[in-house]
Amino acid sequence: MKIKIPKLIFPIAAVFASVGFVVAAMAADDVQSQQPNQPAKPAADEKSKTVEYENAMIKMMVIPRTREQMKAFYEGRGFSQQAIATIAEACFMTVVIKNKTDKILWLELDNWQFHSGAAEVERLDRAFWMQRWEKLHVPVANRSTFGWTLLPERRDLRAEEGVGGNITMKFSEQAFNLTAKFLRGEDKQTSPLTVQLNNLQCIK
Amino acid sequence: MAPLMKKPTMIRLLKLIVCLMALPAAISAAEPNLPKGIISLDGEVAPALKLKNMDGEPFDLTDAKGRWVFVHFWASWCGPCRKEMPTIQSMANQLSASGLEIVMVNTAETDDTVFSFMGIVAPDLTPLMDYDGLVTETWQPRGLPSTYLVDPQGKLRYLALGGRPWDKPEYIEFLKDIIAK
Repeated sequence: MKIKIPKLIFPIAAVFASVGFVVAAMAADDVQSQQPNQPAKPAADEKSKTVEYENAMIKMMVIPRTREQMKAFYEGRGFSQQAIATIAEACFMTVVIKNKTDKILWLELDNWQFHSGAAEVERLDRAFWMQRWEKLHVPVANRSTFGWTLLPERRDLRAEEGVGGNITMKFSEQAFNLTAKFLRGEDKQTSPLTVQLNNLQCIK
Repeated sequence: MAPLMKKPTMIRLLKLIVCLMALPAAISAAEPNLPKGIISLDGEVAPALKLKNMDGEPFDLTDAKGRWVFVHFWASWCGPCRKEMPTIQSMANQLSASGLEIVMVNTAETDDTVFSFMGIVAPDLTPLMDYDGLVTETWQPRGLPSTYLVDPQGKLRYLALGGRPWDKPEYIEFLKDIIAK
């Protein structure tokens, strides 16, 4: 029996929205997607602002990082004060994703939208940071380390494979939403999975 | 009296028996059982890997031809790397006489950092130092940690997705199995 996912999603999403967390998983032809969405833990921890989501296809967690956390991490890796100051201006969030299916799940950050109301929130991608590091003459080793701490821009997540890393945005006091679209299957022809996480907040 | 079977039928039956007898050998020559998180690669030639350890002793992957090589990329700041490292040490101890070459490539850290870390976590492993991270970049691992298994012809044969419990029996058996072939 085929179930139209949106009919299931919207009432559930409305419930989650009331506690600051919305997830929509849309993959109408996939049996697993017919399972009700089940957040693994309470929607959003007020203290850490961590947002988690888990259903039959994916586990995803977004952890906002404080400026002090990021400064301490990169200071510990020998980054210059200039580089640290640049890092401290940005908003960092650690993202952890696990593909729970037996199909390839395509992580492609170009398919992720960060938005606050109708306005788009600017993500600072790898190219942005490489330009910054070039301008600041940041040593190659530091650039390498920084690069490995970022979430890959693209990854064909294999069955049961996980990935983690930071995404960076321009710092904003305003909460924003993330709509993350994942294409599926080796040829990307399986119906996509869309996860929406609301009320993400940069923290100082 | 009529024969029980016609001659051509007997020949076909004999051929079938021979094929069935050869089947186990064919299966054992095929792909070994892959433990969780290990994927087969298509056998491209491994990228260059020429680095020195902290004592300045050089290593060149091309000199390891004729042996299986476990090439592992890691950094001390990476949580899964820290968790995985003791299992590599334990696996290395268990397979010390196997001929498996274990190559630990530290990505973009300093001697002090690596020395302090390895001294506590895996004192018997000698890492190679990719000080600027450029060798790691050429290998394009899927993240840190990453492990490649390079065959005796210098070709990439297997990739471990993320950190793996290398000292667990299924991984030890898998490694023993490929080394034996």
